[in-house]
Amino acid sequence: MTALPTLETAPQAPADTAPRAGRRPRARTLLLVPALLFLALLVVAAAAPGLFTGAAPNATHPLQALRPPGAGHWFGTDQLGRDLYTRVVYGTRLSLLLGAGSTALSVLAGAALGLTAGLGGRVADQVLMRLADVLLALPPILLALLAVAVLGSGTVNVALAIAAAFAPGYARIVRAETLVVRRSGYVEAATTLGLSRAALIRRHVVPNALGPLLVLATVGFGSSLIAASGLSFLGLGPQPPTAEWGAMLDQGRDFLQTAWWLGIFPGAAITLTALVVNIVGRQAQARFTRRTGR
Amino acid sequence: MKATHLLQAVARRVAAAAAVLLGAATVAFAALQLIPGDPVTTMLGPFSSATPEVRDRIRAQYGLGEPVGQQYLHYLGHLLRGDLGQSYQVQRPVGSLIGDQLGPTAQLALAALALALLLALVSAVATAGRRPVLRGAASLLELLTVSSPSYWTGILLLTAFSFHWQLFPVAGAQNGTSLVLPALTLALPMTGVLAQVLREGLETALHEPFAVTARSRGLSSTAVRLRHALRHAALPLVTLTGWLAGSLLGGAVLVETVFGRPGIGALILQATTNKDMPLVIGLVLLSALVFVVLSTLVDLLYLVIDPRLRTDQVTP
Repeated sequence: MTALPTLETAPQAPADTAPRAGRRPRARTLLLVPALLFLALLVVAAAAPGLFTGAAPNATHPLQALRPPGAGHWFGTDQLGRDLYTRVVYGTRLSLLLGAGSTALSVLAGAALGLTAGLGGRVADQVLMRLADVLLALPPILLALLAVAVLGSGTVNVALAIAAAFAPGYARIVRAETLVVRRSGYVEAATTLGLSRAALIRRHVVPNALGPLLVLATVGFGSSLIAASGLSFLGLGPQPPTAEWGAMLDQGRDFLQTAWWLGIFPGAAITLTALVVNIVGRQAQARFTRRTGR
Repeated sequence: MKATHLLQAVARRVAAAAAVLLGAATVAFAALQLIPGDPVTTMLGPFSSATPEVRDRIRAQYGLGEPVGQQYLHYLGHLLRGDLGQSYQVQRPVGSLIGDQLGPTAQLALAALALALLLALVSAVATAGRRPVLRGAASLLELLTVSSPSYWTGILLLTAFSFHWQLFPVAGAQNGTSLVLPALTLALPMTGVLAQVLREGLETALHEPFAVTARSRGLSSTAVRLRHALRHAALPLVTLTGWLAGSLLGGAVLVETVFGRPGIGALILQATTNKDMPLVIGLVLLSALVFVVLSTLVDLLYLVIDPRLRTDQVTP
């Protein structure tokens, strides 16, 4: 069967490293600074939303329902008269947590499975990688939905489902890296010097095999965020009145005809976050590739 | 290619396809076993007042009382006969439920695929190796489409072209015009990825000696791109397109929800929220089948595009 592009090539395009024209790297770095600033702003909003708004995210004002954006309500109000700007700010925490939590879980699971396959002998390798082949044959969203069907809906289950959907891709990459490291000169040297197997794995194999994974996880965070908010949008994640970007889009759907702002702002928050994460992630990937030549 | 080699290649391909399908069936069956609680309760809904006798009859009917190993073998036996079982919620065969919804989704996926390829081709051919400003603008646009979740793009298009200007219908799948916005929504993220890869490939190919030669023979820049460079740049594009086309089924879940279209995506969501496991499994198998068919097509397309692969040594 044709070798399939995994996470590194498919959903997010590869980090192009061809140093062409000399002008592009500078343009990319130019984008990097605002991207990092925005990312810092997001982290602050997630940690202390009260700094950005004095209102409460779930305070309803039925008399002010569906007001368009303007003074007093920058992003307008929703069908219950809640201030949309406040809800988008307060939604940052859960949205970022969903993306980051599911990415961390999938990276951990992928690392554990990949290392097991790469170090655990032929049988473990065969079983795990054939399983990964099958799982990678299915679209991630479908895998996540299969997991939701098993686990049930809810915020934590959505994070677990997204983690399960992306883990096979990470597992395959870690396995490949592990095999490269195992055959490398320094591991051979360490073995010759009589380092124990456990110390060898801890000191050499794990750090070297996981480096590329962490870089990849930055870009993966964007995919996880979009996928997790997508499941929320389908109504499978956080339930009302929780402020979360995907869920807010879902709840605003019935009013789009008259209140366009309900569809614009929460989605813009998801897109902007994914965009800056992608910019930072690609830069990290390009630098990593340049440094290691992989 | 000799006949025996061809046979071997075909046999290998069929075996690999069967392995993926069997694997998907096994994963789906394992997921079914992991569901907490009694499947009969799931089937009847939490508020059912069915008597224990009725529950036992259902249990026997679905073979739920047997040991797991035996259930698995039965399940595989049924699959081999093309029997996907009965949906828990809607008391109809899973096969016919899926069959009913296949049309609208196939239309949507094919339209999106064609649109994505067309847009990527235009964008890449027009901007590859051109001035940095042009390339930069195209790159940024592509990054934006890759970062935009389809459900948001869909809402934006709906707001602009259905609510504001009222050019396209808001929901449904009755005619051609109702296909435009969903197909565009599904196509845009793909376009970004495809255009990036195609531009890289084109730029590499444009620096090859054959491209320089063709240009020095007096061929116009566009002609070199279309007639010479494109074929070289197309190979990675084919693999990527195959992969992305397989993931369209996942994207359809979101896009069909946004636009209120019937189809496989809507069916997947319905099956998931109802915990209708036979239907979920049927849909997983459908997706695996799509993957198998697509990767076969990709391999065949490779042979069509690159004659160098048609020799004996490089039998895949």
